[in-house]
Formats: sequence, C-alpha cells, structure tokens
Amino acid sequence: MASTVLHMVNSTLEWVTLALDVPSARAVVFGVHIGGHLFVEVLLLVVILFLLSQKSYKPPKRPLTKKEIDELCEEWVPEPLIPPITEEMQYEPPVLESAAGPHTIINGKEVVNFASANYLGLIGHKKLLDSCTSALEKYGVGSCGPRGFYGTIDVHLDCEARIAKFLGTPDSILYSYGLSTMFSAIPAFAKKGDVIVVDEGVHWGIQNGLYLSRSTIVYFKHNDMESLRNTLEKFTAKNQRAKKLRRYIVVEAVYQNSGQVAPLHEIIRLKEKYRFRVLLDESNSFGVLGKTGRGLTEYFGVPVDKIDIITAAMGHALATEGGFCTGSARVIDHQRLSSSGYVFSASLPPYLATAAITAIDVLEEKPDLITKLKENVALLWKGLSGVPGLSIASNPESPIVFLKLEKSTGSLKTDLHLLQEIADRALEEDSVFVVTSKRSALDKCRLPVGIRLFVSAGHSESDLVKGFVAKPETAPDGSVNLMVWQCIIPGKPGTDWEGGYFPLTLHFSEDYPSKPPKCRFPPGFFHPNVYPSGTVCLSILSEDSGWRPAITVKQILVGIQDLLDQPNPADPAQTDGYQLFIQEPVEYKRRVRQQAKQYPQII
Amino acid sequence: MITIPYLTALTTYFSYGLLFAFGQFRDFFRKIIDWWNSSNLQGYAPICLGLEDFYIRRLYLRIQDCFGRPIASAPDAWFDVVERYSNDNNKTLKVFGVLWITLIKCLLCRRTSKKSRCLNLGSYNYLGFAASDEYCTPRVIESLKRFSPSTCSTRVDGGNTTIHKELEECVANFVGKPAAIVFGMGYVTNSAILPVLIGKGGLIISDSLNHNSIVNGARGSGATIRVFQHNTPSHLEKVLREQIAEGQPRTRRPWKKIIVIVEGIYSMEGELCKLPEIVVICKKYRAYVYLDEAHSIGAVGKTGRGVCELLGVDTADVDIMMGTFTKSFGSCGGYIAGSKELVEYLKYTCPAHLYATSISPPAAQQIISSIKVILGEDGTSRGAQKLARIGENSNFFRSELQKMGFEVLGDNDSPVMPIMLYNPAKIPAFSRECLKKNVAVVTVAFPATPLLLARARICISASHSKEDLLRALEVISEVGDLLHLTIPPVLTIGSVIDGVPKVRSAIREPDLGPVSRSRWFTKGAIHDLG
Ligand SMILES: Cc1ncc(COP(=O)(O)O)c(C=O)c1O
Repeated sequence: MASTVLHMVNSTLEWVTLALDVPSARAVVFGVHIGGHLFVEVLLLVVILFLLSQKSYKPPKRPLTKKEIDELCEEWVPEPLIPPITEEMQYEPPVLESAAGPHTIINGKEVVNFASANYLGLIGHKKLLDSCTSALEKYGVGSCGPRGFYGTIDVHLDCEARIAKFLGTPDSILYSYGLSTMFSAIPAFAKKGDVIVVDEGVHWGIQNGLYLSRSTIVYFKHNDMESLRNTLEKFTAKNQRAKKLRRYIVVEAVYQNSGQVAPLHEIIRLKEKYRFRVLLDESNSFGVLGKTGRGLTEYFGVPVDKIDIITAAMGHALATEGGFCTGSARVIDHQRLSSSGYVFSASLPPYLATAAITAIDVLEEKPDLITKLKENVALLWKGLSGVPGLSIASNPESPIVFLKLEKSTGSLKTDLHLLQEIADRALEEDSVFVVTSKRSALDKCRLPVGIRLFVSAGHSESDLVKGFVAKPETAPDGSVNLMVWQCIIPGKPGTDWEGGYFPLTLHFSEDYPSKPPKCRFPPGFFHPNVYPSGTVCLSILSEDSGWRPAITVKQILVGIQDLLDQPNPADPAQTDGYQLFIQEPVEYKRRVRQQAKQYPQII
Repeated sequence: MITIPYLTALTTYFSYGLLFAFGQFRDFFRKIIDWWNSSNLQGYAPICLGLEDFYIRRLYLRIQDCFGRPIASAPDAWFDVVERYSNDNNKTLKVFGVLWITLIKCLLCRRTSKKSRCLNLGSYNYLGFAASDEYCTPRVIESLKRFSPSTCSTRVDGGNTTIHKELEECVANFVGKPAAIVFGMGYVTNSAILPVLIGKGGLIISDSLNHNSIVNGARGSGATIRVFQHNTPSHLEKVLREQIAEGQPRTRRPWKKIIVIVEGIYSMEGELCKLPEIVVICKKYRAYVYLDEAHSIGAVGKTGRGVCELLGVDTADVDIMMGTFTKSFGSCGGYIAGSKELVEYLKYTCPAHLYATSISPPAAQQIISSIKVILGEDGTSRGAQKLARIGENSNFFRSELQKMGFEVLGDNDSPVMPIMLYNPAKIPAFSRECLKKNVAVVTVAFPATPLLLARARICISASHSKEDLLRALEVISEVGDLLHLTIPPVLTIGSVIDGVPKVRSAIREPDLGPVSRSRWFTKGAIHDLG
C-alpha cells in the first residue's frame, strides 16, 4: 500500500519536472542551463516578492458609530475658560483723576508721577492740546475705516512725511497702536524658514511678532555682543543655505524690560560682517537719545540708512498714541499691503496723528527738552545709587531708571510682591507714584523684575529729590527689610538747617501702625530734642501722647523737619544742644550750620 | 457660498491669467536688467518675497489709485476726497548707463491740493458719530483738556484714569455683561486675548471667513485650529462632534477646551451670524462661544446692542463678547465683555493690558458719550432716531440694489452690502466711475477676499439722507449698466420700483426674482469658500 503511494508521488514529481523541463528543454541562456528547478526558484521569488509587497495585516477600520460619538461628546468635560481667580489677580491699579503729567492726582492727592513714559513732558502741552482740539473739530474722533478704505486722512500722510523728514529716512508708515507695530511689521518681512536672531530681553510685542512669523528664532544673551557674535558665527558656519534665507537681528534701542541701551556700533559691525538685516525698536529712545532726539542712530552717530527697519511707539516721548515704522521706500510700501495690523485695522484717529506732528515740531523747536531730560535722569541716578537693597540695572542714558532687587528672593512672584509693596508705600506715604514691571504669563522674557521710574523733562528738581526720600533698608543678605526705612530729611530752606540732608532711620515694629516707629538720627546728632543715641523725641512719636495710627510716614518726616528749626525747650533730650540753645544762641547757630555742612546732599 | 456663473469664472480666470502672464513677461526682462546691474546688496536675500511682491508690482500697482484714497475731512455722509495724480503710469524711467531701466517708483500717487466732495459709501460710520456731534464733541474736547491725548502708560501702571474706569462700566452695561475690559485697538483686542484664553491642547473652531485679527490671535495662541464652513451651524456641529470624538492629534487626549469663534456681521459678506443655532450647538457640546461684534455692536438691534439683541440671544449664553469702537461709535479701540472673573483674569495676564498704552482719553470719552446718546441718556431721542434710520436706510438700499439686479450679498438689517464684481478689470472701473460721479465706494480684492470674488462694498450710515441714497442708487445703476453688472430684473407689467429714478428697460426673463438669481446658475461653478 505504502509503496504504491510512494510510487505515485515519485511518478508525479517526475512528471512535473518533465513537464516543466519540456518547454525549455536543452535551453541554454548565457551559458546557464534552464532547468525545471530554476522555474521553481523563480516562482518562489515571485511569491516572496508578492508577499513582501502586501501591507501588513490591519484590522478593518470601523468608524465610530453615531451612538459612540454621542457618548464621547456626552462624557467630554472641558476645563473652565479661566483658572480660579486668586487674590493676587485682583490687583487694582491706582486711578488717576487728572492727566498723567509729571504731577497727577490719585485719591484726591497730588503725587509725583514716575509711571508715565512722558519723556519730554508733552502731556498737557498747550500746543499739543490746541492742535488736537482743532483736529477733533475738523475730523471727529475716529477714522471709521482702514487705511485702504477711505481711512487715510490727509494728516496721516502729513504725519508719515513729517516722521520721515525728521529721521531722514525715505518714507514711513503709521500704525494705529504702538503694540501692533512690531507684531505686524515682523511677520511682513519674515516667513517660515527665515532666520531671526533676537535679544532675549525684547518686549512682548516683538516676541509675538516673532512667533507669528514662524521663522527660526535664535535668542542671544541680553545685550551681550559676544553672545550675539557667537550666535551669528555659529549660524553662518553651520548653515550652508544661509545666503538664501532672509536673516534679521532684532533689538530694542532702550529695552523696556531693563533700561539697557543697545550698543549699536557693535551691532552694525556684526550685521555687516555676517550680512544680517537689523530691525530696531526705538520706542523708548525716539525723542530721547541723541542730541536732537533722533534716537539711537544719532546717539551713536550711525547713518540712519544702516538700519533696515526702525519701529517706534508714539505713546512715549511724543505723548500721543499709535506707532510708526520707517525705512526704505521698498520696506514701507511692502507693509502697506502685507502688514496685517495695518491692512486690517482702522487707521489712527486723526487727532492723534496731528498730535504726533505737533510733538515733533515742538521737539525740533526746543531741543533743550532733551538736555533737561538728561539732567533729570542723571539727578535721579545719583540719588538712587545709594539706596540699599535695590540696585540700578539701567543704562545711565536711559530715560527708564530700572531698580532691581540686589538679591532676588528666587521667585518672580515674591520679588514682584516685595517691589509692589515698596511702590505702594512710596505712593501712599511719599506721594511718589512709581510702578513695578509687571509680567504676563505669556511673556517669555526672563530678565529680573524691578521698579521702573520713567523720568520726564517735566519733572522739577524737587520732584526728583522726592523720588528717593524714603526707601526700606536691605538686610546684609540682600533681602529688603520693610521694617527699617532709610530716610533723608532736608533742612528747611531759609533756616540755619538749610543745605543739610540729615539721614534718619525709621524702625517700625510689628505693631505698627498701632505703635509709632522709632526715629533715629546718627548717634551724637546735635539737637536739643535728640537723645545722645540719636533717637528723636517728638510728641507725635510718643506712644502715650501724640501718636495716632493715621499719622503717615510723610507726616512724621515733615514733623521732624519742622522740629529741627523749632526745638521744644520743654522736652530736652541732650544737655549739649539744650544748653547752647538756651544760653548761647550765637554758638548754637554756628553749631547747627556746621552740622548742616557735615551732611551735604548725597548727589 | 457664492455661486459664480461659468462664464464669469472663466473670464475672471482669463483676466488674472493674462495679468499674470504679462507680469511674468515683464519680470523676465527685469531679471535680465537686474543681472546687468547687479545690485549692491550682495549676500542678502531679497527682503520681499517673489510671488507676494509680484502681486503688488504687477497687479495691485495698476489699480493702486482705487485704494487708500486720502480724505480731507471727517468721514461723514459726505467727505472731501483728495485727488491724486501719477504722471508716470506707476513707474518712472531712470537713466543708467546706456540702459533705460524701468524701476518701480514708490510714491506713485501724488497728492494734489484739489478736493472733490463725494458721497461716502465706504466708511464704517454706521451711526453717524464720525463727524462732530453736538453732544459728544464738546465732552471729548473737555476730556482732552483734562487728560491730554495720551497717558503714555499702560492700564496697570499710570494709564488708568477715571475715564477708563467709567468706560468699562459703561460698556459692560451697554453690552449686557457683568464686566468689561477695553483696549486701544480692536485688532489687538482679538490677537492678544485669544492666547490668554487658550493654548496648547485647546481647540479653536473658527468660521472660515473670520477677520484676520482673529486668525492672528488663534495662531498666536498655539491652540489647534479647525475651520467650519462660513456661517453653517450644521457643519459646525459636524466638526465639533468629530473633534470631541477624536481628541487631540497624536496623543488622542481629550481637548482641554474648545472655543468657537464667530462674528456678528461679516464685514466682507454683510451677513448676520446664525447665532441662535450656533449658541444652541455650543451649549450642547460645552464649547465656549466667542462673538466678535466689530460691525454689529451699535449698528443693529432695537437699542443698538448688536446681534444678540437682534436675533434674541441671551448674552449670558455668549461667554466672550468682543467688539470694536472704530465703527458705530466713531472712535478707536476694542473691548471684551464677560463674567467678572473673566475680566479679572484678563486684567491680570493679558499682554495688551499690561504692556500697551491705554486707550486715548478723548477717544474713551467719545465712546461713553456716544453710548449715552444711543441709550437716550443725553435726554434726547437722537439715538433712537439714528438706530431707526440705519435700519431703514440699509433695508431700502439693499432692496433697491436687488431690484436693479445687482448681485448683493448679505442679510436684511445689515448695513454692509457687497456687490459682486468678480472680474479684475471691473474693480478699478467701478471705483473710478463712481468717483467720477462723486460717489466714493470701496472695492475689495485679494488679499481681503478670495482672488475670484472681488466685490464692491457699500456701508450705509444713519447720517445718509434719503436724497443721498437716491443719488447713490442712480450713480451705481449707471455704472452697473456700463460694466454690465446687473442681471436684468423682472418687471411685471405695471410694477413700479420705488425710488429708482430710472426705470430700466429690461430683457424679460422667466419669473425669477433677482434675489433668487443664483438659481439661474445651478449648474455654475459652486465656489465653496470653506
Ligand atoms: C470682525 C473684526 N474684528 C476686529 C476688527 C479690528 O478692529 P480695529 O479696526 O478697531 O482694529 C475689525 C475691523 O475691521 C473687524 O472687522
């Protein structure tokens, strides 16, 4: 039985081989004998290739049924639109009751305003107000249309021409809002694939523009030219295609986030070496830097055409609103059709364009505004240099004086909180309105926060002195001790105490304001009502008699200032001063004047 | 959806094709010349890219005079248009060696001191607050004197005046929301708020024809963006269901949140948003509704409170209400109105609140005063009259245009009415012919509309008088005839078209009203904008 099966198999195989051999029997191709097995091999190869070409097994796709989608939709729970509101989010900024000039009114009280970037003091300028009034009467308030669609008013064209003429550029273009200037201009010139090298300290408007452009963004260290050079070098060396891409360096002239000034010379040198174009934001330098206020280029003596694109907000020195971009005619014309914030938004209200024209006129007529601003910055700088716990992070030329904590607490939030406390006290007790640099959660800038003082040409000397009358002390570890305040009491003009600036320390206790702070001059201070330790003896500072919780630090300081010239003989605290005061008025006066000379103004 | 007749589509494509071919031809020579005269900016890539620059050089510049016409007065019902000239037909010749080189010249249209008084059908002056107003202007000037044109500071620093506080309360009250926050520019309002509200892991579902500021804000937020067919609630629902079921791409995690963004009146279409349906759908799927009322706030609704009032939607159902002050209120800026918590949160994080100069005080005062007029709080009924006028004017004008046989887009009650032009040659022709007859209209072409769908857009104002409108209709009808824009209307015997000065002799067609004219072309190319 088995042998028959075997036999059958054998004969079948033979038959197959024979059958396969028959057509090509004796066929020799290129010397290879084509036999049956070759056919089998080829067949095998074909089968393998066929299998390989097949997709791997996939379960058949079954789309979700309507019911399943319904269920999924039913189950889906969205997050709330906004996170829960915490207490810190409920910050209410002070409300101004008058124009935000160098002096303004908050809570019915006149305060010195260091919060407005009114660099030239043009807020409230008569000429500006007059030109605005006539523009409002002629044109109404809004322009009611984008520039392309009858929103171009003749004053827009005049303003663009005026800015271009002032800066010596071929043309300029107006935007209706300062913030939108950069974030519209950048995407008009940079697209996906282009390269932008940018300072890490730039403000949010620029950051947003960079993001929207979808270009490749490379950050360099804040205002660090070595870092910029390295970045450019690395990029150029690595990238073969670099020549084909549009390449930009984006910097601010005066950084809003730090008050640093960009070293333009070096930037120009690097730009020319590596062939990058430069976008410069002059928001805080236009009308401020340079002999005639033409900005950073004038300050460094660089021809303005070396910079490819210049933008600036007009809400600072020009005391109006909106922004402009200036550069070659090609750069400007391109924006008129490609810059989204220009094309798709209503144009600047005409009265604001008029205000900008007038402001530039005023600036050209009175370049001494810039000199005054410079002097004011220098004055404030000197005064703030010695403030313990805070250090000045800004450039001496910057109209933004930026105070940062000497030693950060390590957390942005705590730092801000501390700084805010200082600012609040300054407002409440010294009537000095200063502000901290706030930081949005969307802001990628990681520079330290601080207190920003915007100096104005409109500030008087006494305003600036006020700017640093009282500041809390810092512990040796750099943290600010809010319990100890260092103050300076100027001697009253017209008295023997005039010319002296007497240091006074206020020690607040935990129980303040139910208990008065302890006020101390340096030990051995010459005055009938000052103890040899320096402690001041004054009725309003006595817990038992004159103190009331409502008394502010300012009132204390004024009280002590008055006490200097009007000692109270009924309450002597030192023998030396008391006796001279009673018995030898001439010698007393001499001592007082001598002491005043001992404590000169620190600036 | 706009139905384009075959023939129109063909001729439009042909026109653009011709322009393109000529442009390329000229560019070719330019390249040769440039090569001869190799530029001094070696090593730099050109600052403007090829094709987008091509459009400007070869198409836009030819008709540049139709856009950006300067005016020399307030954008009221009538205004002074400054005449411009160009003596070099948009280019200038320069001698360079032995070659005459054609270069673009940049200030092509130069201003003259000549002005012509024209009827304004272009500005967004819906309620007529653009010009000086007996109630608003004195108050605006007073606030200018008190607060100066600018605060030079941001809202969180020194830019927070009593006027700003008052404005926010006033706007919240007007819009019908508990709180509001204002900004100095409408564009920035959209583009800076969206990134605060939503980020990675979130989904924005946006109408396909939303304004560029919304598109920019959505892009800036980092959220995923999906688009639904313009003003089509059923498609919105489809997209919502699909997206919720699918979750985030790749990770398949559920979406963190979904924001649906629509506009009240679409400024290029004149259409009213189908808000009631959209709100119902969003509620069902728990998506947040973001409504941009730039063109509708103040302009529609019985008391001017926008599309919610017009269409009977409870404002509590719209989570974020956005609008601008550049249109009906004749000022500048924008607002977001919403719950108290929403506004508090925005004030804490929104970059435009923290970093941008606050809205100019006189502009803020203009908004407050104009809202007072609208609400009748000035002690007169001028506001109510204005609102009645804009409704009447718009509906009258629209129906007349339709009777004449123009293809007019948009819904009744909307003061925006686009007239389709399609052909690129008709854009400048329509604009120039109207201007010759002292009527200023806006023509819109790419990039504000799709390439094929060029149109003229008319914005009606409450300050237009009946005579103004009749005159405008007369001129538009003449120009329409000239350009063959009208599909002849059907005049049943004895019918009289009110107010149309010229009864148009018409080729009688089967009884199809002009409104239903798209049915003529059911076989035409359907151009789906989505
Ligand atoms: C729907 C929409 N949103 C926002 C804006 C921008 O407003 P603004 O012109 O105030 O920047 C516009 C203006 O055209 C708009 O139509």
